Amino acid sequence: MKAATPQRRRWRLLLAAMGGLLALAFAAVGLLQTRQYELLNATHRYQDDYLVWSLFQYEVEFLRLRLLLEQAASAAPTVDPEQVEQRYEIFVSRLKLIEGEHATKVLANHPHYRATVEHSLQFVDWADKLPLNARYVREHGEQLREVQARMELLAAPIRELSLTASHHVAAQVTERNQMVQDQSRLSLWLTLLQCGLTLGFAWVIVRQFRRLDHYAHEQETLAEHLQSAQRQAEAGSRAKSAFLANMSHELRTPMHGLLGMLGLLRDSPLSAPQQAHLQAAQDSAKHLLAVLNDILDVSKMEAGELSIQPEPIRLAALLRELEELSAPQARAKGLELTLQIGAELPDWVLADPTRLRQILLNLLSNAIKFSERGRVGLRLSREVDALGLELLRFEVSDTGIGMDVGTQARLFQRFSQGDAKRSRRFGGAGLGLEISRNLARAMGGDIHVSSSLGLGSVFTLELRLPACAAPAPTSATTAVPTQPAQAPRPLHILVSEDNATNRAFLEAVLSRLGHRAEFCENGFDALQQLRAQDFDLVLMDLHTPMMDGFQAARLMRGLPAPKCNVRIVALSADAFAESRERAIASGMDGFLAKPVSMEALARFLGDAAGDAAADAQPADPAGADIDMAAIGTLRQSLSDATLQHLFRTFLGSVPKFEAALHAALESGSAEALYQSAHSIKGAAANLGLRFAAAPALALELAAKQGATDQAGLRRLTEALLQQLTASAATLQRHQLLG
Amino acid sequence: MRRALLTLAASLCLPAWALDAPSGPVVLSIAGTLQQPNRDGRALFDMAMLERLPQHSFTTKTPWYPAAHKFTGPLLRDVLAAAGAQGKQIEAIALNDYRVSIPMDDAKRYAVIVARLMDEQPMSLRDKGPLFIIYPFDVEPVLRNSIYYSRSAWQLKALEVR
Repeated sequence: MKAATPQRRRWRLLLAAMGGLLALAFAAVGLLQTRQYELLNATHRYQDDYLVWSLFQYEVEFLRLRLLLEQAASAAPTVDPEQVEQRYEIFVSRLKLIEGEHATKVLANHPHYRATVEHSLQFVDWADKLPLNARYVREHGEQLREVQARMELLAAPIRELSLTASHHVAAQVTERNQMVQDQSRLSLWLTLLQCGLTLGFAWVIVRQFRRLDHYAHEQETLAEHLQSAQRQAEAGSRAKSAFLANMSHELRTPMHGLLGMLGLLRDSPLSAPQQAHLQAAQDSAKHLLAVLNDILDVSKMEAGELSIQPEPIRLAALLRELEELSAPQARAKGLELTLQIGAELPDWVLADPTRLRQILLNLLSNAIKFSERGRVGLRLSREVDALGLELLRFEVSDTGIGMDVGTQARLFQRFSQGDAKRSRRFGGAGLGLEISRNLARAMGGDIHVSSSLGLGSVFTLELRLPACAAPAPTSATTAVPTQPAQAPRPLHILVSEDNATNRAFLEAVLSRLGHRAEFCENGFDALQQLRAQDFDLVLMDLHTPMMDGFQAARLMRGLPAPKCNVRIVALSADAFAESRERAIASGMDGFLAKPVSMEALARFLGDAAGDAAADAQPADPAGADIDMAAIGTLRQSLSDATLQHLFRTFLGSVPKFEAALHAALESGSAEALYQSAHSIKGAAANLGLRFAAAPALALELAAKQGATDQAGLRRLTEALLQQLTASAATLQRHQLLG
Repeated sequence: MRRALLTLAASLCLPAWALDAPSGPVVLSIAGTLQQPNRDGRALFDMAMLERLPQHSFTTKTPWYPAAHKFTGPLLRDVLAAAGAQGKQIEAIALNDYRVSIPMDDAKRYAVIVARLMDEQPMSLRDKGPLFIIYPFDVEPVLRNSIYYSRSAWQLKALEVR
């Protein structure tokens, strides 16, 4: 392109020159036409022509006067003296025409003109003095001879002048013709020049069009290249995603086994050093799992599969949970951990609890990781942004090593940590902050950092979380894991799993949970087993040799009833939403992501057993008031304080339950009764409160079956109300409120 | 009384029902198809009769004088109307036997006057008088060509209507 610049300048110069010439040509044509117009100007031409005519006329009038005078002098009786006077006057009027300004100008160069005019004027002067009129002719007829004689002297010059006039006409015509010819020639040249220039411009335009065509072609080629490059890049990206999915599967499968086995080992009798080793192994495994989860999150974000699912969460509960999760780390490093919640904050907000917790935990664990002494704090406040919209601000501050400006700028980039030195010192994949920021942005907010080297850092997460009403108590406990209501009924479970370690782990866990499990190594075997025996549940690894879980599930659904109705749950390390959807599409009922902890499995099987029990025994009479086994399971994963908070939350909701039941009873609507009972059953069962869950279940079933027996429904409702009214006392009696 | 009626009729541009006989020297004689001849089938005008018709004035440049001059006189169409002249062509005849044909349309379309005064002064014979047909050259650019210049007859003595 650089080589083209001087060429382009030459082109511009040429174009400018051609344009200039064309303008000049047009100007010349304009000038020519103006001159022609002036040449044809009627008045001037007429004056010229008229002068010639006047000169002839002058001679004619001279001759007529002379003739008349001759007749008068010879005393011809036919001559009227008045006529002589008139002729004389006409002759004088003709003289005036040829002695005018215009005539003088035109004929100035003619030698005879002046003399002739002067002689004529002298004659008129003399004749006027006579004066030459009718009376003079009548009275002095004899003296007309003298007048005649004087006129005779004028005859020759006037004749000469007349001839001059004809020559003048000839010269004028020639001159005019010459001028017209000249101008025609000039205008012909100008036309030729214009033609040439117009053709030149046309050539330039054609050339420009060709060049444009050429450029368009080049652009097209370039666009094609870019498109193919883009296709290649997209193919590469897809390959990477597939690779990540495979890797996640390959990595999570052994992790599943590893974590499970470590969990089992912990319950066996170990010496103190062995327990320390086990703890270290478990910590490493958990760290590895965290890194694995980060990688999975990133690959999900790249595949655009990251979805935010807001639901009502209680901010106080969230902070309490964060405190419980972060406190042990902080304590271990001797750091003070303070969590503050500002005034005027909404109690409940709509947010994705998992993702919000993930961001805040990441920020908190970073703060703890990079602080050796001092304190780490989380402060939650309500702010108003520049547009006047309300937002929630989570500020995580620490008194750690801090960062310089360059580090802050790189902070949210992938695989970036403070610097290479820190990376070695603190470990980590460097994905946490990128994930956190992406999550925050997906939630419509952002994360900012302010820091100074050696003085600590402040990470600010700002989110626009709308306040909302407290949900029904069933979902009030979304922030904590739900627990099965009843003691698990022993289930007959079929497990399809190709990994031996995982089979061993599942066998141990399932037998500890009191279930009877049978194992096979792939989907085909599982299908055969199901044909041979009856099972309550099939746990299906999705990726197995011979026949994968998807196909096995489809074939199972094709078996004759009742075998086709068996509950099938996918078990896979492949945590992509796509796999989950495929599993559901193949007819599976649920999905458990590996690695599955013992607690999660127990919880899940508890649910499954509960459902099976509900199908089998519609009216399970309440045994004791409280399901201590369920509460025991809760205690395994929740602190006493949290558990007590949950019970208090239940108590707080009792008046609402009562109001709903009363309203439903009065309206006489079985549907309303069913809804209320269902919601009370859920809330109570989650907490192992059998005294409320059992009568609620009885009412729910009766209402669901559309019992027309109003008295029966009323009796069941009143029984439930009675239990609810006594719930505070019952909880106190079992010392559940602390 | 009769003169007053004539003036009224002329001022209303209506054809007069009779034309006075000239009392002074005859300056213009109209021949042809006439409704109001006043002597021997002709309409003869002295200067006073022409003066009594409605007068028009305009200043215009002409090829015959270096500067513009003011011309005054009756409209040609009023003069023809006074004689009750009807026809398509007017033959203008000058004292020097100059003849030119003027279409009747010219008299209808343009304010052509039979000028008897130039710059408020009567025109002598040697000054192209006493009567001079003048077109309004300065008002109508189309008139500025040889055809109309040649129709502007001076030393006018007679009109023949055909």
